[in-house]
Amino acid sequence: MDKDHLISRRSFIKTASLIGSGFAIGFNFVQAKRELNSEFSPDMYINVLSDDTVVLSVSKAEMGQGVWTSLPMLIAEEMEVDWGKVKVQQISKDNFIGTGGSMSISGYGWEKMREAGAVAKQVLVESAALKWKVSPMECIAKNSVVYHQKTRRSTSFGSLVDKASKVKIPNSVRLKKPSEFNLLGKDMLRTDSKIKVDGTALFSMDKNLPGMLYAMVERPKYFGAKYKNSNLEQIKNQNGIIDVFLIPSGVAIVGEKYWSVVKARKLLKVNWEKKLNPVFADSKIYRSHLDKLSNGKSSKVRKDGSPSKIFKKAKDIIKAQYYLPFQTHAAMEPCNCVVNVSDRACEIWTGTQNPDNAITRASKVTGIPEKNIKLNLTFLGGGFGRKSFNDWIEDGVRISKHLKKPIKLINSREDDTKYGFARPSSKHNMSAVVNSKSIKAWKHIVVSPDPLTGNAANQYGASIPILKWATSIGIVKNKIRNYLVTDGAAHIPYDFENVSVKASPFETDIPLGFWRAVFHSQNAFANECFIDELAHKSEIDPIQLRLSHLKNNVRSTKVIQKVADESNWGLVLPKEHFQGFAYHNSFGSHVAQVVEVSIVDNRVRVHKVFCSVDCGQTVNPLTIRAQIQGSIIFGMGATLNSEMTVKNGRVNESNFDDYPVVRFDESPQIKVFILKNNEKPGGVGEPGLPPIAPAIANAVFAASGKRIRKLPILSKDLS
Amino acid sequence: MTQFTIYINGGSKKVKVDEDTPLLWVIRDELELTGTKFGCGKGLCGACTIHVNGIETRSCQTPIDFLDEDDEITTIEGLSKDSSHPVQKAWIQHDVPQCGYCQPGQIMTASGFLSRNNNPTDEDIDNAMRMNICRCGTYPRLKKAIKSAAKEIQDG
Repeated sequence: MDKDHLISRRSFIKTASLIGSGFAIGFNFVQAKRELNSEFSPDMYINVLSDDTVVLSVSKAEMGQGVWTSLPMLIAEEMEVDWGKVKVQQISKDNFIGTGGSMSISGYGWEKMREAGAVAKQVLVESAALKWKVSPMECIAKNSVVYHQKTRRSTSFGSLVDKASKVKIPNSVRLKKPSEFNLLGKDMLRTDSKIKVDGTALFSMDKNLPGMLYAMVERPKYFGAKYKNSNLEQIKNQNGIIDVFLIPSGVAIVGEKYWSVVKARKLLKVNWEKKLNPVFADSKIYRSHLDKLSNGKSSKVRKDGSPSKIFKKAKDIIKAQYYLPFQTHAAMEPCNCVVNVSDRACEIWTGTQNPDNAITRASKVTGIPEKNIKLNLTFLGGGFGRKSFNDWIEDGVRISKHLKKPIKLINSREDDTKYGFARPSSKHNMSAVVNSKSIKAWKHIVVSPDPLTGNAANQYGASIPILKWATSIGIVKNKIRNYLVTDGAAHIPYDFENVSVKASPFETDIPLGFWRAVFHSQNAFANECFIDELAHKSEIDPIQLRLSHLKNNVRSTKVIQKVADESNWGLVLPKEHFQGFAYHNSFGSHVAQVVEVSIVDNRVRVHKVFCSVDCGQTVNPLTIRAQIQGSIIFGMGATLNSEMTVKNGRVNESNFDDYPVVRFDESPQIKVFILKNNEKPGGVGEPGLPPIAPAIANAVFAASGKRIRKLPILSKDLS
Repeated sequence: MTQFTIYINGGSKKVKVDEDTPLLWVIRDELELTGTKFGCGKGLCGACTIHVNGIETRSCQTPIDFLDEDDEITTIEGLSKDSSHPVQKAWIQHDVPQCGYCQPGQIMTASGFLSRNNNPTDEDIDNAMRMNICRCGTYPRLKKAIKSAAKEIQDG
């Protein structure tokens, strides 16, 4: 990093004066694919004001993962800004990139935000040099001040704004070495806390427009069902109802007040024509299909060595099968949007992980050119993958277009639970050969629909744009069909000599999508429960067996040893407390966990979670710990509390009573240990999740001698 | 529709709504105090928590005509000026919020219960907070912040 860092040609940079007395540098890190609205239309900007305030824009969506703090930190580090003078602003640019795949820092901010900060610093230093008529090489910047030590002069960033707009943008900049970091790697409080504790943070649910109407959509009772008839005319006459009409996704009900819409909707009776032979749209049928496919032929994803030879010769093959249920996201803020469509323009306020696709779809629905569609990205009240699908935005746009009035579309909690894009339920057939305390061969068959290519995705208009989006942000690294479902299975970190990973994807009418950690959540469960079974069958300590297959992997070895030490693995525990271990590598980060559980009245109680994390160079450890804690708690819910089930073509669950999530009193004590190094930053929003389910299941085995091969863990599984 | 006068955040306001309208929607849509959030509509998640006469109340389950004339409502906007309530200060200091959507409800629940019990045990805290859901999983930090706020309230 000593060398000059060439600014990539794609990052179109331009200075301009924004409103107020200051200067701004705009960056176009994302290639503009649409005609720009105005000459100065960056997807990221730095704005220095004459009072020394520095406004840093964030183009990723803030959904809790802390990008309002971490991305500005990356800029501020290189720019040498006094952190106390930083203000953060969300940018809503028509071509900004999506948010997901734990990529905000690892795939975007680490390089681009630091580059932007370094450019801004260089411009300010050159402005000061110009002012003093000295060489910029003799000037340094620190804490929002430029110094010329020879002449003992100094001037604040704010005093340079007039000069700065005349300085040329440098072609190359020098980025700091990790040893020079002042901010990165330090605990920094979030920049969005104040507005989130005083009620002023803007979620799209909170946006109001003059004359705005409220809308809900009654969607088909069964997946893929078609509208037949309804008492729509009667509903139109209800108090406070403005209109009731059909849109492709169902019946739209619009009223002056939300409560009038809720009441009228209760009286709406729609007859739906069920789809003939819906594809596996029932948990029981779906599960028997999983069983059928897991015994049939499957396509090869990875083959190392000669696994089939080893299996044929082996005297003893250890086998196990694991099932994971559907899970819905249950973000606290149900999907909603405010939309105002007029003859020539369309403006949208919403929290989406996939804004580019929202604009494309709004344009398609309205016929309004993309450049006249403005999307205002608000905070997201939770995303977890659900808010990349944009179905609710398309509904909102259609409703506003029909009425030519501003509307707010609100999904009820029940709508959100029943009409989401669930994590697929999957089955994992595992087999292995163990000899002389070593795993000689490993086989994993993943049976699951692929949410990117299935019927469900096509039916909901999601497939192609979602695949494009997932590819653009790095969830999908190539378009190999089976790639997504074997994420975390094909890339198992252990150095087994003979490995076979196969997949049997299939299609279903159940709408499926990405859920926090995507397929790592399922595949890590299968991997890490199975290796625990192998260790116990072979009478080897489960951690030792793993370490023996990670001899060339320093990072994973260290992360595992750290958590083993901190948790006193294998040493004396409180009475009736038992430990379980799991490790997984995902999104560029290594995470190992030891959980401590007890079982009382056939209920698993998780007391403690020890978690070590190696996510490379850290940006904000305070955020990392929050994300790891959150991922553990999110994953615990899917291990112990909830599952989504489907009967007769519809989702059974509806609200937090029948889809119970982890509550305050169930939350364990969580200790997070971050390993420090200067490796490339990995993701942190998701990698904390995959190990928790297998760690709990392995602890339940230690406690009860019962192997958990199906989630969630129910009381009846323990009795 | 019926006209109601409600006393909220230290002032009285007139609204014209159906009498069965939950307070949540009166507060959010009529008075445009949008800090109080809609999460489940069934009193299961606590995102809509407000104070009625200082007591934590689920505004999504409280129709406006359930109020008496002298009932006093406090929402997150009225809890303090400039986030100076000990609970709000502790939330910032302990970096509690993630997505932030449930936090106004968490804060109203915590501030209501701490006003009656400023020296809570872990069990007291569990019981008071278990009806408020956070999907980001901020529970460990919530717990720390509640303890620190309790201490500040005790110290006056």
